[in-house]
Amino acid sequence: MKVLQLSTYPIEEPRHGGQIRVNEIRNKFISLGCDVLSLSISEPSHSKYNLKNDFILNMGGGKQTYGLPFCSDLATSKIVGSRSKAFDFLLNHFNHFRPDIIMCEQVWLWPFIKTLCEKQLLNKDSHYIVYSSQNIESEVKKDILMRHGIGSSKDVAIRDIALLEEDFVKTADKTVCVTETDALFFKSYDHRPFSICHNGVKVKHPLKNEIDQIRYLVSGRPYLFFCGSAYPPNAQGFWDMFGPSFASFPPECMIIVAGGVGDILWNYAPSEAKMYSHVNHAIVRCIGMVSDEILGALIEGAQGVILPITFGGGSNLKTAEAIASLKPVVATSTACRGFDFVDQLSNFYVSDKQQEFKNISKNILLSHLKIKKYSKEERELRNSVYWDRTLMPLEEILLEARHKLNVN
Amino acid sequence: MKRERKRFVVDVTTLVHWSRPPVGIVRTLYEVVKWFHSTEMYEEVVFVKFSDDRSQLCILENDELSALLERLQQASFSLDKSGIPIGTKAGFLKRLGVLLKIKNDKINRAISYYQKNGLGSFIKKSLFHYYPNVYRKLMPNDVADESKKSDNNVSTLFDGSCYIGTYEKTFLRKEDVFISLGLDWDFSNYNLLYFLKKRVGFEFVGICYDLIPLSHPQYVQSELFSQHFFKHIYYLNYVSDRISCISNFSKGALLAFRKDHGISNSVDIETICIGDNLDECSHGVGLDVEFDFSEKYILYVSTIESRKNHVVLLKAYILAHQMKIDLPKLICVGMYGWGMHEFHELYNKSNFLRNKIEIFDRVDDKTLGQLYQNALFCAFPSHVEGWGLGAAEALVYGKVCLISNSEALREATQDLMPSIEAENEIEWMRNIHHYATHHEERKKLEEVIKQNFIPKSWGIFCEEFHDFARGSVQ
Repeated sequence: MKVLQLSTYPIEEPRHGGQIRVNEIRNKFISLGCDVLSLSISEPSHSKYNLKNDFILNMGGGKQTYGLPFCSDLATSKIVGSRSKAFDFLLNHFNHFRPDIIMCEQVWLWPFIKTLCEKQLLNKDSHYIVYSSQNIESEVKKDILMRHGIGSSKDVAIRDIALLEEDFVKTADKTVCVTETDALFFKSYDHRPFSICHNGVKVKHPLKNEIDQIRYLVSGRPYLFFCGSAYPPNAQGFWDMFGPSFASFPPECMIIVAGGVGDILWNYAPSEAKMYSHVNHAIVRCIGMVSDEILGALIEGAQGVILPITFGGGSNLKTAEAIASLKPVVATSTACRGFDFVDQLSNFYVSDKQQEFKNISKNILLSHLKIKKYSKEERELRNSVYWDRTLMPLEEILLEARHKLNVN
Repeated sequence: MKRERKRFVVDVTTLVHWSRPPVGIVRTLYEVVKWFHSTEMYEEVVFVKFSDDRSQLCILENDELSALLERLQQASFSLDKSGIPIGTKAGFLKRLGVLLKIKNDKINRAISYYQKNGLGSFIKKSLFHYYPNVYRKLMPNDVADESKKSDNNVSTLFDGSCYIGTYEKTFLRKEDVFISLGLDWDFSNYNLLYFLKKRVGFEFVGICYDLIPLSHPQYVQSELFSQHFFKHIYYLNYVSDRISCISNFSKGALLAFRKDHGISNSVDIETICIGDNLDECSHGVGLDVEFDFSEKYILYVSTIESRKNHVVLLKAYILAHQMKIDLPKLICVGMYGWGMHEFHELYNKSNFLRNKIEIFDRVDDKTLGQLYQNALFCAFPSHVEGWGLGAAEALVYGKVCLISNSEALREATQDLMPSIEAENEIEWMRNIHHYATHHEERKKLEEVIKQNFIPKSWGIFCEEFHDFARGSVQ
């Protein structure tokens, strides 16, 4: 079976959650014996591209189409829906590869497939089309724009995204959701059953060298670990849950922030945080992008992991990572979406109240909380977050595709 | 029970960097250091200072400390007719500034920078400010280093102070009580002390003068200073075992700070009001200008900066002049500080004010005592204070002091003095005129002072502070 995977970011060097998910799905199909081609229509902000399979689209933040920030993905959907260089790029690959399964990650490239159908360049009966949703995009976009003070000018964009999603859910042979909540939302569009593939995590074994390096650099200072991409809800949530001042943390404490979120974190700080900035910068250390090996070592050396996400849809891939780490975790209920079993986990604290979240974080940092030992059953439960388990529903999808297309 | 012999380690770095008569915070540190140096006590005492880059602490030898105290005792200078010190490098810079018609605020800033950082750094900074291209050519490495700074690297986890604090040798030991009372945000390194303390386990005793840069950031020179000061108070809370506050007002502010920022470590916080007597042994040279002590005048002793609200007095005098009300002469004693633009605008433009108001800087205690003694009464219209030493000193001399409604000023004057809304120049004018012309009223208040005001010597303060610093072990 040939699988064409479409997304809006390259997976040459997967960094953020979306990229990692696309890459893991690709690997899963390959492991099931499929021939997979992964194409992307990407922004020029990524670190690495496969120049053959990634089309770089520079449209100045997508403002031309909707005049709104944070809408370059929606602008991409407009561009790929009609004849354009990006459309031709995808079409050429499509014609050359001749896929059986077309799996579109998120809704943004759906207009391309739709146009192919309309122009009868693609016969829906001889292909199996999968909508791989990561969240309810219309709801998330509305939330992001509202939190950035954008009023009614966003309404058209939100409506268009909702229409895209509804159309895709209704037309696709299968919709894959990351959480049961998302599936419930999509039920209002279509009554067919949905597949749920929770976000997952790769098995990581940090190396001694990296662990030693981190141990030397932190010189015995206890730290909490926060990792996230440069996605506004990650930065906003951090300040929502910690407030403007980190003075309640003693000087030896640190919160180490890895990933792209560090690049935008301080832009989202509340205005009163300016007065406290010297102390905040001493406690909150943004270290930018790190290798998987260093990431593993950072988690290994941490007192705990924090997941301060207060809005945004889908499920947080970092939550899976935190569950698998066996470290104490402080998370918001939003961060736990898609991981309903967290209430069965030891040393896993869920709070949406700033003061409580902060206090638990401080107590974990200062080792004031008793760490419970994990039972065999709990370890097994935690193992369910590894990708090989979360992506098992793809095996069923492959069977369904074979059945529809009469392929053995 | 055997009494544990502690060792006091007193940080004198601020005094090392100070080149004027000790006033305010520096005065407090100076008195404590003098007391610890000269008093026979059970505990051993060592005096220490930080290196210029604040990365190391070193012990001062006894004769080095004696020379330092002697220098500060004599740190008054002759003033020329414009109040500029004679025979000092700072005085030279000031005179040069006057010659080049550079604004007074700028000169003061330049002098303050020069005094803090030395001539080399002063020239470097001036060059960078006025001729940046020449600077870049001469010092390419300085510019390149700036551009190298980057936040996005794992190595940003490395904290020099933490490293030194964790691994380097130190003369500090477990039974030490480290005392730090100076301009610590400028001259100490609490970060290093915190990590040293975590390793060695000594005790730390600090002081809280006020939290004004945080509660009233409009009265400090820059937002950056408030940020810097916030960090200082943050570390003070975490490094200290005991914090002495100079007033209940300051203690209240510190407790509120701890509550607001969720700081919950255990610290003993107590109010120990500072002393208010002047140093009778001061070796200064007095005023080098002719001054007729028999002339009627009122006195305001305080740094001349925006928070101290000299402007309201200037406005009151202008108002009186317009209403043809005669007020006595006003003598302001204090060094120039920050944000005096409005003061200079009013003062320099008005012949009347220049004749009516005189400003003296670098006045030694002996002369200051004479000024208090011969004043009709004193004024202290400051917007906000942590204590208000000048107001308390006035009462020590039995002088009435008109104060603003700042809480700490009422505390410093033991609620005995009339208080006036800080911004209300009409009320200031009325009250100055009232107490200047109604001798009986003034005498009545002087009697109230005589009967009720309890002065506190610096010696008593030092004894109380010593007991507090020693902690519960007897």
